[in-house]
Parts: sequence; C-alpha cells; structure tokens
Amino acid sequence: MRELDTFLREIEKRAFRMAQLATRNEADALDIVQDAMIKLATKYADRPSSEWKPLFLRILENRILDWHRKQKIMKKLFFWRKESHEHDEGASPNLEAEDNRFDPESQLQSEQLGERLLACIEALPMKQQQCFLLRSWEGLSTKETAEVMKINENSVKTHYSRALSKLKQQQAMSENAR
Amino acid sequence: MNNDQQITEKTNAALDESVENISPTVQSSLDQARSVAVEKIEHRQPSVLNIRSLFDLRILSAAVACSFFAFLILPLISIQNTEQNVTDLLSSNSGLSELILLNTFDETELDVIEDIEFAYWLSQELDQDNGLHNG
Repeated sequence: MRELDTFLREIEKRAFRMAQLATRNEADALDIVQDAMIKLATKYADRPSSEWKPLFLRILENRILDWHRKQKIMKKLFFWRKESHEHDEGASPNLEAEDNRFDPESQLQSEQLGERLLACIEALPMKQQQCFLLRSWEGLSTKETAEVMKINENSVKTHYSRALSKLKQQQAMSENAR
Repeated sequence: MNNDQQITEKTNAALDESVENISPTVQSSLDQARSVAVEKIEHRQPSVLNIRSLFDLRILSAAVACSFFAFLILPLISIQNTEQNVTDLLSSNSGLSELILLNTFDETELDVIEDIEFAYWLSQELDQDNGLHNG
C-alpha cells in the first residue's frame, strides 16, 4: 500500500498536467486524475508495481477520452450555448497568438518559447497531444503508447510526427520574432 | 543534437517546469485524491489466501448458476424417468402396477385413499353388526 502511495505521489502532478492540457479545465482534470487513481487502487493494486505506470496511463487516457466524448455530446445537445474555448480535433493551433511581453533578453525569450510551446501543446488535437506527451514526456515507446491509447503503432507515429511538426513551426516563429 | 531532439527537450523542460509550479490548491486536491484512492485499498477485506485473485468472480457466478440449474433439473429428470418407468410397468403387470401407482401418489393423496378405505371397512363392519343383531 505504501508502495502504491509512493507511485501515485510521483505521477500525480504529471497526470494532472496531461489531463489539464487535454481538458483545459482544472476541476475536470482533477476529477479525471482522482478517478484514475481510484481505479488503479481498487482494480490493479495487486498487480506487480512494474505494471502500474502503463496501467495508470491507460486508465487516464480512457478517462480523458470519455471526457471528450461527453463534451462532444453536450456540445451537440446544447449547441446554442457559447463555448468558452474551442476544442475541436480538426482545429489548427493558434500559432500566431499575440504576445505583448516580448523582451530581447535570452532567458525571457526562452521562457516565452516555453510558454508558446505549452500553448501549442494545449491547442493540439487530442490524439496528437496525448501521443506527444506519452512518447516524449512520459518516455513510452511507440508500442507502449499504442497500447495505452488503444490505437495502432502507425497511428502513434503519425500523430507524434504531426505534433512535432507543429512544435517546430512554433519554435521557428519564435526565432523569427527575435 | 538534431532539431527534433532539440524541440522535444525544450517542450519537455517547459512541461516539467509547469508541473513544478502547480498551485498549492491543486496540490492539496491531488493529495486528497491520493488519500481516497489508498483508503480504498485499506477497506478491502484482508485475505490471507487472496481467494479473489484465485477465482474470477464471473467464473464463480457461472458455476453457482450451473449448480443451481443442475439441482433444479436433475430431480425433474429423475421424476420423468420414474413416471416413464411407471407407465411401462403399469401396462405389463397389474399387481405390481397397483403398488407402483400407490407409490407415485403423494402423502395427501395416500391419506385420502386410506380414509376412504377405512370408511369402507367401517361400513362393512357396521353392516355385519347390523346383520348379527337382526339375524
């Protein structure tokens, strides 16, 4: 039990960040992470600890997917409601967002680049975003990412490649703005 | 370091930094969520043998259902066989068939038959008594 507590303590912040990037909502992200923790604890605590990370990430991805499906249905049912933000899988990220805090200092530029990259990640379509986070940030292999997201490996490579391409565009724009 | 590696490292660094800067409110919520999850394990029944891990609940349910079904069906099958045997015997041996027929009656029916037999015997006795007195 202590081992599980340690594992959850190590992964909870990153899990929250992944959920927050996907939902753009702090409360929903917390709910998703809590659900994932409870499910791991109640269903898979008896599994070897080496399996906890992929299991937890899979549960987390399922919750995120469920959240997105629910949002799509809600959007169709309550179409007259004004959305506070758009989260369409086909939407292109806003790469030309205004930045009034331009500062020639390199450290500040680096911070701005970091913020722009985060904003770019946040604006990615869900599958590209989660593929990138799982492959690059969590360090999962293509095969592991495919298992977590329940898609085939070629799809993982495609989504990852597109996400990377958009991030590189963002970086190039930041460099051109100097 | 190629461009892909560079951009992924910068993005990962930005993500790591954003995680380090999580607000105390969010951290508190995460702590609470973790406690709830761990409590779920504590409230599970302790099992030395961990029987639950040995038996899948679905398999157990299916086994119980099959056993229950067997307990219901087998007696019916045996009754049907008995009835079939009775039918065969009735047609071949009348004396034995009477015995078997009686054995197929339930207790209530047997009581009624006994009452009828007793009443008949009593009437016979009374007739004989009347005959002796009159004779």
